[in-house]
Amino acid sequence: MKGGRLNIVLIGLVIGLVACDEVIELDIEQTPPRIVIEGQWTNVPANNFVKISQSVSFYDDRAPDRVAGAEVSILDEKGNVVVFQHNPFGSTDSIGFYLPPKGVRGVVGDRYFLQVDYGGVTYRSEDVMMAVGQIDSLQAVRSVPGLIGQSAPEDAYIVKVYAREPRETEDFYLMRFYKNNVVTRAYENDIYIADDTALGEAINGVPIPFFYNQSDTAKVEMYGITRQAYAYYLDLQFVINNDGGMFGPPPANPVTNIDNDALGFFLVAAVTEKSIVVQ
Amino acid sequence: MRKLLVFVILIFLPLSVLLAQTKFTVSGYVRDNASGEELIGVSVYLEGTGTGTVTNVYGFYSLTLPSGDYDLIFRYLGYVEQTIKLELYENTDLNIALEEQVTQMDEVVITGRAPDANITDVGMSKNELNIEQVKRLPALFGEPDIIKAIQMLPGVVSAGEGTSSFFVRGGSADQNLILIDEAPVYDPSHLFGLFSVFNSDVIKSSELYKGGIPSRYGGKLSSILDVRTRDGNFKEFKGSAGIGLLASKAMLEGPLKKEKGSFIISARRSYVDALLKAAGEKNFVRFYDLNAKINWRHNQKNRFFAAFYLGRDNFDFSDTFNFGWGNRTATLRWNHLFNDRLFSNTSLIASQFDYKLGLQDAVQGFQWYADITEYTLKEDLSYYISPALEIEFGYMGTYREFEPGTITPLGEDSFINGLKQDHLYALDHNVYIDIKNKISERLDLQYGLRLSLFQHVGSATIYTYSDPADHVLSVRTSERHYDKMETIKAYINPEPRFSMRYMLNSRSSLKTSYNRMVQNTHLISSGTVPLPFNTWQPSSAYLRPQKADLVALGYFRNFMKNTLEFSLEGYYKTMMDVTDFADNAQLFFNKDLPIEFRQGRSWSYGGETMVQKQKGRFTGFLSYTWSKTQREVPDVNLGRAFPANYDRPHSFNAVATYELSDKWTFGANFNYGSGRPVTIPSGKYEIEGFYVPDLITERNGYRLPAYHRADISANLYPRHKKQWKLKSSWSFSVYNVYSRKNPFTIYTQVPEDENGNPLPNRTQKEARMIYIFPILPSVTWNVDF
Repeated sequence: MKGGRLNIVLIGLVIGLVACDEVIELDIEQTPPRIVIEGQWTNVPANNFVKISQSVSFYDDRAPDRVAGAEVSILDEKGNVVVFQHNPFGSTDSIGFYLPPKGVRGVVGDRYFLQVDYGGVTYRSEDVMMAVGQIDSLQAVRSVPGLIGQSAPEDAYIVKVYAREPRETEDFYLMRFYKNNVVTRAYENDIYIADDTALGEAINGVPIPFFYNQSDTAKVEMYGITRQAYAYYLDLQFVINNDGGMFGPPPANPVTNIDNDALGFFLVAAVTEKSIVVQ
Repeated sequence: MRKLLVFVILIFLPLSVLLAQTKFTVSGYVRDNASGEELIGVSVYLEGTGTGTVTNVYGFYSLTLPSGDYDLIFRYLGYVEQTIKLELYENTDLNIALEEQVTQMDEVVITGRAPDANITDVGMSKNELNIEQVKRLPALFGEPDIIKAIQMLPGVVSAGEGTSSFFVRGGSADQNLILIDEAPVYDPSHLFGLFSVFNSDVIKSSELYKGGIPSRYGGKLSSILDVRTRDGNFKEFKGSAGIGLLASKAMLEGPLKKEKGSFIISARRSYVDALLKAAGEKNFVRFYDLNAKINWRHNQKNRFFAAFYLGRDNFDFSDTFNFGWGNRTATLRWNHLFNDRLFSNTSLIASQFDYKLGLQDAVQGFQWYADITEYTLKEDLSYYISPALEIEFGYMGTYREFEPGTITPLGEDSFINGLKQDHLYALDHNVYIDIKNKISERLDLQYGLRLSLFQHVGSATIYTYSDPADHVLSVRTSERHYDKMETIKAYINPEPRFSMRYMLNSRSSLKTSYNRMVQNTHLISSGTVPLPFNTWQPSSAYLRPQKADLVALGYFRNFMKNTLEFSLEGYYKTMMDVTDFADNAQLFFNKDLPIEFRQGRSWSYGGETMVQKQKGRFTGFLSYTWSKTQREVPDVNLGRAFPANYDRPHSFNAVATYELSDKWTFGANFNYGSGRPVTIPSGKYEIEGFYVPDLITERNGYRLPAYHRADISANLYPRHKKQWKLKSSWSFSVYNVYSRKNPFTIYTQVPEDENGNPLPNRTQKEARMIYIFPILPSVTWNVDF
């Protein structure tokens, strides 16, 4: 359990006891848009992209603006340059996405440099590709009601994950869980991250925190991430779960590894995945 | 250490003592005639002169005068004045029993102290809270609470509704030293602050020091709340019981041996859990507390006390989450008269605060436990040299053990690893001297020095970090182990204190004071409201002691024969090395907590005024405070100064009670406060095409709407037949009469439908305000026997 969730529980408790809760209109000053860069560079070509968007004002009805006209490239220490191309397939929902040439991927242990040029500003970042363990197997079992603190629907299954992780090093992980190829979360603001302190040396049957039905496809992606990436996801969890600083800390923007006041993060990670059909 | 003390005393002892002529001492205890309880702060003085003294917190006084015949007057608000013809030709023991004033309508007095204390007392920035007055005021859920009354005093603000935290002159809530019978209470809240731990049945006196803090107190930066409990009736058995909406309580007191010993025991318990259970809820909320005290007057020279407090809260939510916290304190005291001029109090004090958090979950199930335990030996000596000169000095040694947190995994599949954080140990030695020196009728001084010697001791392993200012990438670079009781880091801090009162005339005075305070315990919390789930840490290799300097200046005036008291004070306070935390600090589950620590400075200034009426059918006060509090901490808000979380520039309070007849009394209060500053987003953006984080540009850059509320109460004392031993009364109160929606906090979220599911279009966000307590009527039934 992370601090963010605790705050939500506390707020829930206060509301539950005596309080009321209503929408209010904040009188917010307009601030200039900030650039948001989300880079993901892995050892699996299909997982690699850079997405660029811009922040909008709090009460804006529009989706945040995507940025199309940037120049994006990733370099390694040997001087190799991968130039990214904006929305190569021309689909409308991929505006703002920059993709590398087909089949290009990162190598575990190497350091990578991201460079984004947009609006006369150069944004730079770097990160190193950490190793990741291996997911040995996924096992679907008939759920016992209430096993995950939620009441189980009829005929629900849970899927347990068995994986190994390198022992000697201090490691950090990001997990993404899929149900029928859609990223799924138990609670909407969940981000699944773990470090060695919380995680044992092996992941021995840790259940995916939501239910599956018969013949669903369950997939797990495990990313080996750096300490800084871990800190970024923790911060992100704080800011999306914040209570304005009553019980939790006052909200602050997540730390980033990108310079020049950009938001977002350049995630360099080795990834491993496994999927099964639930039955 | 003892040598040092003797040396200090010799230096400060004025020559007059050595050249004294034939003088004798009259000394003794002043008590309530009906119950035998000692009275605190009774003024004892000679007819026709201003020469005199007041009884100390144990009801003791001592006056040394040239031999002769005197008329000695004992005066205490609410009691019949007594004059004693004294032939002082030898040292005399004189115990006095004062008779409570028979309640006559226009003579109602609801505070016990010297009538002109407001102007004559050398102390300033100090408020006494009379529990009888508090009991007549409107109370949330019908439970009278001194902390709620404290929040209405000038110079004090609260974090918001339903919290037991208070903020004194720009100090944070952890900078208040809260004492019950000298034992510190680390978290004074029940039910997250709806109630405080102070049960009004057992409180004898409570004083809040906001400035001009005498050197006998130390350990926190901003205020001292000194609560003393009753000793119990030395003459007859008495009791009371009260049944309220949320909690009930019972109290029993009486003599152990008539006039020699007494006891008091009081218990309180909430029964929200029973109501919730009856409603079929699976959530449990409950608290209880227990106060017990016994006293033994062995002889005129020796008295013994033992006082205990035990309180606990337990919460349980749908068998999934559980929380609990509690305080335990014990005080053993020995009052001893070495001679009739040298009064000694020796105390052994223990205090513990702990909390637990548990989550029943297959994947993330765990149990978390943390506590702080301390033991104190305290020796306070008062030497009454002459009516114009009184010296207090003493020693206080404290040993503290901090358990910052242990996680135990729960459930077979829990992937949480157990984690036990190292205990921390600290020793805290303090010596002090405090001199009350009346220079003339007009000029009264109180000055002193406290010396704090603090040691962070082993056993411990201390790590150095690659860059302690980087809480993301900093890693341990080296470690050093320290053995048990080995000094890891020591801090020595002198704390000078000074107060002065100058009488302008018989009705008005000017006062000024300066104090330096040092705090060696640090609250590990970054929220606005101190939750019971907060750990403490000592000053250490990682944390420097927090220090504060406060200067205050005030004008005091009484009107209408001390009926109306007026005060006007201004202050400036600067705090160094106040403890804060890096943005997005991880304060839970963090084995490298020190890299989250940031220490900065804070400063506050303001003006406070109060008008108080203490006598008559109609009593009450008006208070207004204007203040400004800023903080500047590296790595917080990009290093720029920002308003403190509890910076609320305007605060106005009106409190009144009216005694209509001996059957009915009425009470009312009104509070107004500027909204507290909060951090709100200036924009939003998308991450992973799903999350919509807020864009934050400034810490505490927005102010919540102002807070205001009015409450009313009525107390009914039905007439009883004389022969009835049972006396019952009713308290009715209405909280938030006009049902103002006062903001508690603001949070943001992606809009949800009625079932709490987020709307599919995840591009919008909304801000929501939580407000608690609409109009809330309550009734309590009390019975005395």
